[in-house]
Amino acid sequence: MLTRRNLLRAGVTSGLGLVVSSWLERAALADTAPSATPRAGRAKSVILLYMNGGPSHIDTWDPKTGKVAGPAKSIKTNVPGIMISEHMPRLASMTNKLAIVRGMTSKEGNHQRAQYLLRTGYSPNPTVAHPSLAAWVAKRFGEPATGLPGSVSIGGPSIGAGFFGVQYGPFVVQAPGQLPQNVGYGPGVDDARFEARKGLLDGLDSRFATQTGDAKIDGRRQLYAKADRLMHASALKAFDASEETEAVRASYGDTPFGRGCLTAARLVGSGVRFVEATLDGWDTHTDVFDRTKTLMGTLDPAMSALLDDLQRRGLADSTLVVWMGDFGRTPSINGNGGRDHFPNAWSAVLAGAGIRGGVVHGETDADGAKVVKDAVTVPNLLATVATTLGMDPADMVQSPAGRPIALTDGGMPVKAILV
Amino acid sequence: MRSLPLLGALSLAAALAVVPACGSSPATLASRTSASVAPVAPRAATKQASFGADAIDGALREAWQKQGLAPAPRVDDATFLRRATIDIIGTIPQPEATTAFVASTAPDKRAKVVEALLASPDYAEHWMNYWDDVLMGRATKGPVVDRMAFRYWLRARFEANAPWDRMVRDLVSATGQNSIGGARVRIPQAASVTSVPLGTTVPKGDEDAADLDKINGAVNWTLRFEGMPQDLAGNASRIFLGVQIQCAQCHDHKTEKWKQDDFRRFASAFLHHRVDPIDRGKPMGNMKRVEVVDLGKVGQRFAKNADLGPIAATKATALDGTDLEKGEGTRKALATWMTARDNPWFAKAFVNRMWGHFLGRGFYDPVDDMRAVNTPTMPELLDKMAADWVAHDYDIPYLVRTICATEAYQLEASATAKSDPENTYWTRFHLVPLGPEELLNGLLRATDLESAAKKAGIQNMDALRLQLVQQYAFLFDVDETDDTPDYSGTVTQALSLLNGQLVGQGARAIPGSALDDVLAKPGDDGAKIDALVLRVLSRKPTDAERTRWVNYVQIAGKTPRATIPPPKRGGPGGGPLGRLGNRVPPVDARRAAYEDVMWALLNSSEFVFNH
Repeated sequence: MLTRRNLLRAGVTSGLGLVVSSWLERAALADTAPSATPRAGRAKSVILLYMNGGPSHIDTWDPKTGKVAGPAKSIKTNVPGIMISEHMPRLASMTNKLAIVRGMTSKEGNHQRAQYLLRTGYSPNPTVAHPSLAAWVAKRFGEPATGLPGSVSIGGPSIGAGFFGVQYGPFVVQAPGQLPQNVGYGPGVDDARFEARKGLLDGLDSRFATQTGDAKIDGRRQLYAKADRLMHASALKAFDASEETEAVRASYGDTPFGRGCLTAARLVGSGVRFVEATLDGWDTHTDVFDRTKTLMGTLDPAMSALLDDLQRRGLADSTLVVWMGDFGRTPSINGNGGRDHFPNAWSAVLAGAGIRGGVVHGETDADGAKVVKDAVTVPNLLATVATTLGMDPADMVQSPAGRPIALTDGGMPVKAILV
Repeated sequence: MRSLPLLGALSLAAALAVVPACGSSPATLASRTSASVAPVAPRAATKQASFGADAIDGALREAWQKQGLAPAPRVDDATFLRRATIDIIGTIPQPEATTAFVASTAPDKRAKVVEALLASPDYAEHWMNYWDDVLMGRATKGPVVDRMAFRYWLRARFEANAPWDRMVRDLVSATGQNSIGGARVRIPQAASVTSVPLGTTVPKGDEDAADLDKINGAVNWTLRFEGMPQDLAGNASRIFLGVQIQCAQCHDHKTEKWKQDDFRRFASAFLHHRVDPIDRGKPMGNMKRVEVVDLGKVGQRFAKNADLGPIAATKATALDGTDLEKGEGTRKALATWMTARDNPWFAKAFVNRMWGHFLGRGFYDPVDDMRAVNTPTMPELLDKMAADWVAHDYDIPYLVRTICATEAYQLEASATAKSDPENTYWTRFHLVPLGPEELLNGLLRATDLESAAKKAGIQNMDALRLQLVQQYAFLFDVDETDDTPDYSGTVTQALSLLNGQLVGQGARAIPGSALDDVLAKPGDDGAKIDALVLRVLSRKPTDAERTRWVNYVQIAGKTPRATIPPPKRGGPGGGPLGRLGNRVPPVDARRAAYEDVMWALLNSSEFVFNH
């Protein structure tokens, strides 16, 4: 009988989902045959810089003049014709690496709904808990050989793996730049004692598994084995940014977000496929200009140091960096000197593997109120990210309710910004 | 209960004195009343019980025979007590309760203990946690959502045994003030990033109960969906009716019964109210007080929202075509329609959910999806149970009593049963992992950490419990739609049990801890192993287990141990239990060996699952 649960089980056990597209297999083969499919599969990892709360596009990447402009000036970048806010001078000096998407548009003006859309490519729908793009990546590529998790979220909870199950959700790190909680032994425990304890536990669990005959026990034992591998993985120190030189740490800025970006670079170097680092505080209903300036003071060193550092580590060609937030903010300035939620028109930025640098894609009108050229939807943005990873944006799995769910909601990659 | 409401279940004072001495009558339900809600006198049952546990047993037996299945053996007393205690009040039994229950020769002791659990103060606490989680989710924040007031409201309903139809009517049609205002609980950064199922205002003591009567905590559910009435509609339909009408939110599906127009008509009922601010401006760090007021027309802020245009333009109508715009407000009319005795979904949705909670799998699974395409097991049995429950006036304890008395609930989780592949016919008990509150309650009870903390000079127990709840809640991303067939947990959870403070400190033989207590009592190693297993796993060890662990403590207890320096980075560090110290006193190998056994018991699957 074709029940939902059977379908789900089939989906789970097949690992890649029910439908493994032949396109993907071709893309995977293409990996070994250089430049067979130049548009797909350059990136091995993604670093998502998530701007929680919704950054003002007009005060960052899409500066305007006239009544909608703030007090900040716009400056020239190292790409003729592209101007950005003066508060991102270091990023201005490496705009040749960036693809600035000024034509972003969506319909979700509520934080919760927008944050869900940006992570999953779908508007929330209570019948389906959509997996995040990070979960698709974690499921597709599996746990790295280094024993680290497939997906890590630094300083924020992100969105989980939905119906893929929590095992594909992000490993959440609370304090950027430090070892995660509880990866070391508790008081009075050393290797020998830990092994002795594991032996006792194994006896208990074996008996219980035999008695109940329930597969859940095996699932739990596998999870414990995974935790054990992480505890003892030599790559674990990738979480600990204190190993870096003072100069490297300083270049990112002495902020949690800076440490998060540095940790992201280290994790990617140790095989982690998807890292999200959050910079919170962009919900600037009041005092938008000062607050956005402060936030750019954190962002500019962190993001530019990240791009430089990835280059230095030899990871720039295999790592995609994505900058995005909930939505943009209104061109008009409200009574509290703030800007309100504005999903109509906003900006996102991509850099690194598979991305053509030094381009602006899309255009808003003189007030930043409307996309007038090359609009990009969120599914299209995520489809672009998926494509750089060699994933087919139309790849399908079956939801627990028996519905086919694609990786993105009809998203098509933005070819103009792909190499 | 004078502790913080969400923590009452953790209170040692609420230690479960549930095992009636033989012959004594169980505590009556009336003893569990609340200051703020008058106890509800049971309405006269409209007819006699026509479909109780015996009838359910009969129907299941017949089905098993027809399917060629055979049930597992009846579960032993100790496991039954643990199972019912976790399911009804969300914690494990006290060791004395288990001993007394097993020793009791009363023929009806299982029924009596269920009765006693229903009368426990922890009953309301547990179901408050359950419904708070289902209705609000874990990620609910927002300037006008007073989670604490909502939890107070829920708890008061369960304390008073409010019938389910009345609770849902009050919830769906709620109007009034959201909060008494005041300071928000400052949730530490570490916890707030994943957000914690906690209230937002600090209760200032007993006088709060009076203040809380002036407001209507129920409106916070409506406010949780402020600006997203389509989500509110979808949740109301899914949770209370098991109808997945939100499938049709975006467009029509060929295979779905409900069309987009049905969704719009239904959702329109949630557009006829407005939210009036009481506190103007932005009281930083404080709850913002608002009042939810019904309107005779679509609220202006909805009418102006372009996305909601098609819904706003549609006449509010129930799923069977009942006009909701006549009379006293669309949400009231909807609530009346939903909870009417002849509503085809309302009672079934609840009975299915409760059956799923107790048996580990509903007739429809997941429990909130009663679409025909979601192939149910024995839907005719669900129909009969639902009709019987309506005849008993939506009385929740009645349903709990009935389910707990069934044969299916009293079967072993045993490989010996003859089951269908997914065990859809309940011929053996489904293993269910403990939820965050249940696990935390269980760990605290098994280890007696609170008493150890007191001995270590930690004065403020409420603050300690609050920190622990926060620390633990963030580990769990409970998603009730996650019905992956295998155990799903996170590495973070596993690490926390392997190396974290609660288990790490709880397994230590430090003054006041359960292990210290066991070691201080007279008796040989066998007796001590018995006592530990009873405390943690609520049963006696098998002979083989006793022999193995006695051997372990006797051999390891004679092996000198190296002094282990306190952990450096990546260890459990300070935190709420930091006062218990990381220093390891001169190593006593025997005590250390017992700690190892305790640690293994606390980490075992048998402890972490209800079985």
